[in-house]
Amino acid sequence: MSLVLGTLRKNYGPVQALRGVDLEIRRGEFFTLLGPSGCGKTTLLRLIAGLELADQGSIVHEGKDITKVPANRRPFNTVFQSYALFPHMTVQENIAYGPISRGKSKVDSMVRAKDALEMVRLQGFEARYPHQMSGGQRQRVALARALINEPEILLLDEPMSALDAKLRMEVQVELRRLQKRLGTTFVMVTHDQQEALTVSDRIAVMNAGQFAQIGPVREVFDRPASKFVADFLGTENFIEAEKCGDRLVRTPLGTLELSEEVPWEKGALTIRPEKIRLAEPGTPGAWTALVETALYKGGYQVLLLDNGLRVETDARSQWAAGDAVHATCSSDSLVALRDVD
Amino acid sequence: MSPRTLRLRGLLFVVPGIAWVGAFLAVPCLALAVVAFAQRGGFGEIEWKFSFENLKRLAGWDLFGWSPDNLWILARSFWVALVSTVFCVLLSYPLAFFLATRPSKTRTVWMTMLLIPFWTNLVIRTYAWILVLSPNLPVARLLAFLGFIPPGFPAYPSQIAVWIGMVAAFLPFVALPLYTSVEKIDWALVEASQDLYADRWRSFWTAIFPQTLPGISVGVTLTLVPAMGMFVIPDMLGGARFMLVGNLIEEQFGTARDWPFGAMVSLALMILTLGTLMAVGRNGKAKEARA
Repeated sequence: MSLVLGTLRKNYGPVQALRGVDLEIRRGEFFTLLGPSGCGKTTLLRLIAGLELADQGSIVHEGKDITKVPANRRPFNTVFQSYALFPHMTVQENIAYGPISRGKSKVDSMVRAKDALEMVRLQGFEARYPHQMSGGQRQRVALARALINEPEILLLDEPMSALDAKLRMEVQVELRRLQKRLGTTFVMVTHDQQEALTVSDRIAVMNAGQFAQIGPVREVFDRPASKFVADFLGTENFIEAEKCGDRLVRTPLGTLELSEEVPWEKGALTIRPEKIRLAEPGTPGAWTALVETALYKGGYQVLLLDNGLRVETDARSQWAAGDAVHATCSSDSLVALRDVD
Repeated sequence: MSPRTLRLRGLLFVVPGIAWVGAFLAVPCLALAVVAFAQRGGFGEIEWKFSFENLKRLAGWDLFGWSPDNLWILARSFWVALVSTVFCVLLSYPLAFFLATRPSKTRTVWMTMLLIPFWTNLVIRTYAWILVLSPNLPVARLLAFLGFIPPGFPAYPSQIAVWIGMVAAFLPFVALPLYTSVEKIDWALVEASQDLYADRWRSFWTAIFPQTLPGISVGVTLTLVPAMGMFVIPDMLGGARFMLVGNLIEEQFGTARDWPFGAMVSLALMILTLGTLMAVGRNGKAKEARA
């Protein structure tokens, strides 16, 4: 374990930003804190960076308690949301800042800054000032400025929020590649679930100062633990259910089979819209509903059904409002939510 | 619209500005320069006989040979203005940060406390200092204890009294512009510097100080210029032995009735002030160009 957080608490006046969170981040992984604004994810990142001190709890890095160690003595570096480049320094001076702070010679640091610029493909920009660069270039400078210090953990605070959609996709791929190549632990904060899924090994979904779910990307995506997580990851399908067998539940759609034991007597199921399969009438286990709205999305189409479910299906057959559809939910795509909050 | 009428119209807009600058800046300055090379008549009137006599006199030559008194006065004025400004800047930093970090409710109160003396007439304020510096009051006792003045004496007239008076008079001129800069500081830069291993000292010089430069340069300009010509404070708190150029000028236009020499000293002061500002400004520009 690279970083272990133990029951971290942080209050801002009456607001509980973090309500005692536990977390273990492994060496060399890309870990993402995902959640809506105000969920405490940025606070948590700032506690790790040392820019803020916890009210309670501990932060242990490689077996060393660093809870009270100030930011400038932690072997971590941060890419700030606004990049926070020094406006009165050139790009090269900005990047050389960390090494110079650590007492390396100025000449040496400037040479290394040049190399770091190459790493982020900005050679030739040494003498520019931050205000002479585009948002994407500035972000790369911020990245180089942090990585030149060879941090044991790189912290990224919503690093892509200032970029446009196309650039964001490119940067995601680049970040992922860079992280795998360097093998550095990356901890990123974002509210964009797509971004989190694309780059991360593991994610933690946060809500109201606590973790709603922590796990590998696929696991969290495929098997959300609570309604909040499912909702945040873009599933809008919730089905009320009652247990009627080890793996059987009674629902408005009929009796459905799950691939795992049902953990409650009464609860809710969720299924991702793209996992619902349209079927021929008469297929065993199929249920029927009427299309209320059909939305054409280019590569696929979205059907909003009269039973409240949302289905995503390929765009081959054309559907219109009023059509009857038959569909099945396979047992391994149905998830029994552990928490309904 | 033809280019010609356009040009005419443009001229029309510029004329008031030019007239204003001409009437209130260029003409007086020229008059000053002309008078500076004239001579004092027997009854204190201006005699239009031009010579370099006043310049020679300013440089120290008079009937009795050469003395460095005038040059000393100029140098001392420059020094006093410079040191007062430096002290104002040093004291303004904590003050500006203190103000900027108050919650908005109490901030107005602190602000008012800074502004009330600022709005008070300078002579009255300086009289207040005379009272504060009277014998056996805390300030005089402290200075006596430190050995600056003999016990039982007032703390004025003295150099220290002039410093105190000057700094007190000009502090708001630096503190207020600095405060507006401090209020606008981007703290993310300070956090970035800490994140990049800077200690407090490096953090201040690389992340905070550059952001306060605009406020400092306004404050320095507002202080340095009037401080060079200040005569009320040295007059009231400095005594006869601590004469500044302001007092020298005042004397020429007042008791001595020697307008030409007064004009010459004024001219010298103006050139000195402008030169200093340009030096400060060039330095600031170089820094700003990098910002």
